[in-house]
Amino acid sequence: MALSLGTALARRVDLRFCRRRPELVPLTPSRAGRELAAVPHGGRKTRLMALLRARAARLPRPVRIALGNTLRLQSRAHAAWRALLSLPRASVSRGPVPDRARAAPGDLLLVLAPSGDLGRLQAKGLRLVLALAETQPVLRPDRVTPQEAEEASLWQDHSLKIAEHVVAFCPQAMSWLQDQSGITPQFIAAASPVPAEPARRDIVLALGEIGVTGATPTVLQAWRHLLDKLPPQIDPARHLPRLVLAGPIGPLATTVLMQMTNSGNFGGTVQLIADPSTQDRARLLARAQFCIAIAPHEAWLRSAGESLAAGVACLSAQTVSGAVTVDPDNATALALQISAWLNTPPPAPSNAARSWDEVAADLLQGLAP
Amino acid sequence: MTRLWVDMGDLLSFAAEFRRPSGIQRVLFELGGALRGLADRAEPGFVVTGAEGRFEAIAWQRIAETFHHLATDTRPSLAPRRSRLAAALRCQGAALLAAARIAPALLVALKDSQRQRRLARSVPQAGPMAPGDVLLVAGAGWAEAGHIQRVHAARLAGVRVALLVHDLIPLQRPEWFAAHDTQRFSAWMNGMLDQSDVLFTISQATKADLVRHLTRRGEASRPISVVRLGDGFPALSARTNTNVPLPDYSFALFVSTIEARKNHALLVEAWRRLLEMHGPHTVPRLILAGRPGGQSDELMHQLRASHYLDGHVQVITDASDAHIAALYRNAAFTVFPSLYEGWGLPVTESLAAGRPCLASATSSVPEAGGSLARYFDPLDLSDAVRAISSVITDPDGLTAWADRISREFRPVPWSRMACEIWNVLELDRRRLDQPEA
Repeated sequence: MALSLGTALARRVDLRFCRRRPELVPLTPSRAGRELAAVPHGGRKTRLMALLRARAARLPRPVRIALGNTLRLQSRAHAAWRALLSLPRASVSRGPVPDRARAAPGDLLLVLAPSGDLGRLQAKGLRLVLALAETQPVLRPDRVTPQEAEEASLWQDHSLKIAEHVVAFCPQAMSWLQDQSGITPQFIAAASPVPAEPARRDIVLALGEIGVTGATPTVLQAWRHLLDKLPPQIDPARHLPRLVLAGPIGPLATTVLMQMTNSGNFGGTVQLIADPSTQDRARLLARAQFCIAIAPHEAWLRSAGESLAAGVACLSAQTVSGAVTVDPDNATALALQISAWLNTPPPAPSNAARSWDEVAADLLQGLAP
Repeated sequence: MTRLWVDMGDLLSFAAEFRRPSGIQRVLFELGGALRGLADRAEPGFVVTGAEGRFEAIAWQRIAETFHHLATDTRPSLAPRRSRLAAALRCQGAALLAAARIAPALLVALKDSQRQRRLARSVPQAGPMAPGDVLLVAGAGWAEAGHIQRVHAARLAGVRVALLVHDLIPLQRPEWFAAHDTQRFSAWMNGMLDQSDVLFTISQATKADLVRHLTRRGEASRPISVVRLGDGFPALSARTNTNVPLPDYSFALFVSTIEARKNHALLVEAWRRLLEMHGPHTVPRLILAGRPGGQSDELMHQLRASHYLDGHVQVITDASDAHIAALYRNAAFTVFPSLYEGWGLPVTESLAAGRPCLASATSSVPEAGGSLARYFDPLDLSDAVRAISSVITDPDGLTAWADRISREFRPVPWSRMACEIWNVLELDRRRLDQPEA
C-alpha cells in the first residue's frame, strides 16, 4: 500500500523515498520496491508457529501435552529473562539525524506507519504528515504483543502532537482521532482497483487477516451454523459453495488453523489461501458470489473497497459506502445474512473504481496551503 | 435377579492422567453411587479394565477413594515473585522440567501404541459377567484402548449392553478436537451403537443429535430413552471441608475447562464492553474457574496482555470441589456461554447452590436450566452484553431472581436417574422374556 501510494505521489511532486533504521537513508522508488519485497513479513514467524502448532495437533496426546507445556513455559521463561535483562529504554531511537537524505527544512515527511523519533526530524525543519492507518495496537492492545502495543501507543501519542497534518484511511481511525485527540484528520478513501478477470461466481470469499484480528472465528462459526441447518442426508460440500478464507495469517490464528485441520476443512467446504498475491485476490474476487470482509480494525478497508470495485457485494464490519454493515461479533446474524445472499444473490454494487493516483491527488489537495 | 455392571474404567484411567474430574467422571461416580442405593433391586457391580485387557470387578470403595482424590487434589499455585531473577529462574526451571517430560511422554505414547496392538491381538473375555447380565457403559470408553473389543466379548458371552450417550460433540463439531481424538471417538461410538441393546441419552438435545447421527448411518429409528442427570454432587460435598479462601468482592462465576467450545472468549469480550459501559465500580469481577485446555492459548495471551482486564478477570485453576462449591454459593450470579453441551452441569450446579445463571440458549443448556435460568445467544456478543448488563444494573431484580430459585428449584436426586435407567432395563428384560407372537 505504501509503495503504491508513494509511486502515485511521485508522479505529482518531487518525492524522495527513505527508510529510517536507524538513519534516514534515501531510496530510489525501484530500490524501495525491492527492499519492501525483501523485508521479512511481519507475520512470517507467527505464521510458521501457527502452522507448526496445527501440525503438532496430530501428535499423540501425552507428547502433545508435554511439548505444549514446554513451549508455553519456555515462552514464559523467555519473557521473564527479557524482563530481567531489559533496562529502562527510551521510547525512541537516539541515532543522529542524517543529512544523507538531504531533507531540507520545509520538506514534507509522509509517515505511513510507526517509525522512529519524528521529533528530531521536525526539529530539523521537516513537516510531518502522519497517516494513521493502524488502530489495532491502540484500540486492542491485547491482540498484539505487549511490546508492540507499548511502542505504538508511545509513538502515536508523541507523533500526533507534532504532526502538521494527519490523514486517516478508514472511518474508524478518523472517529478515534476525533474522540481521543481532538484532531480532525483528512479522510482519504484508499484505492480500490478493478480486477481484470472474467467473473465465474462459484465461491463465497472471506477476505482479511486470518485469525482473531480478522474475525475469522466469527466467519467460521457462521459457516458452521449454516452447515448445521442442512438436513443430515445432504452432503454440504455439494450443496454449498466453497468458503474461501484469503488473507495473511494474523498473530492470533492458531485456533483457526487447528480447527481447519481438526475438521478436515469443515468437511471440505472451506479453503484457506494464505497470503494471496494481488493477482490471486483479483482471481478470487472474480469467482466470488459475494465477499465477507469483517475485520473490525482493517486499516485501509482494502478488502471491502476491492470487492465493491469488482462488482462483488460485500459484508463489512465498518461503514463503507455500498457495503452491507454487519456486526463482526454476531455469528448468528452473519449466518442469516450469508444464507439470505446464498438464496437470493445480492445485486452487484456499482461503486466506481478508485486508483492510487486519485488517492495521491486527494492527499496533496489536503496538504495544499 | 439380573445383575447390573457399571463400567468405571473411564474414571480410573482419567484419574491416572488428570488432576481434576470432568463432568463425565462426576456423572459416572454419582450414578454409580445412586445405583448402589438400588442394591435390593439391581445388585450393581463395577468393572474396570484389568492388566490383561479384560474386565475385572472392582470394589466401590476403591472407586470412591479414587474419585475423592481426583476431586480434592490441589497443588500450591506459584508463589508471588520476589524478584525478576527469581521469576526468570523459576520459569526456566519449569520449562526445563517440562522438556524433561517429553521423553517419558514419548515412551508412554509408544507403550500405549504397543498395548493397543497387544489388546487387538488378545482374545477379550467377559470377565465376571454372566449371560443375561447387563453391562451399562456410561463413561468415556473411547479413551480406553480395546474397550470396544471387551464390550463385544461380553456381548458374545450373552451380556446385554446399555449405552448412556452424554453427547456427540466430536462428531458434530470436529473442529474443537484433535483429529485423531475425533477418529477414536467416532470409531468407538459407532462400535458401541452396533453393540448396544439399549440406548440412553442425558438430554433431548443429545437424543436429537443421536437420531441425526443414526440417520446419517442409514439406520432406521431405534428407541432412545432420555434420563435426566441428578443435580449437584452431594456425595462429594458432604466429605469436603469448606474452609477455603473466598474473594471479598462481588463476582460473577464461570466454572468450566477453558477451551474454545466453552466460549470464554465471548465472555471476556462481554466483560470488556461492560466495563466500558458501566465502569469498573459497577461491574463485578469475573472469576473463571477451570484449567486451560484445548485451543485456549490465544485467549490466555489476550488475558495476559490486557492484564486480565486490569484485574477484573481472575482465573482459578485446579480449585478443589469444596472451593468450587464455596465459589458457587458466594457468586453474585453465574454465567455459562458454552457453544455446545450434552447437558449443562454448571447450570444445574448454580441453581442447586441458589445462584442465578445466565446461560447459552443452545443445544441442551435450556433443558438443564429450565425456566429458572435466563438465556442469551452465545454467538452474539451484543446479546450476551445485554443479558449480563440487565442483571448488573438491577440488583433488586437479581435478589428476586435468587429468591425465586431458592423457592422453586427442586434438585433431582441421582437416585431418580438410577431408577429411570433400571426401569428401562427391566422393560427391556421383560420384552426379551416374552415369547414372540
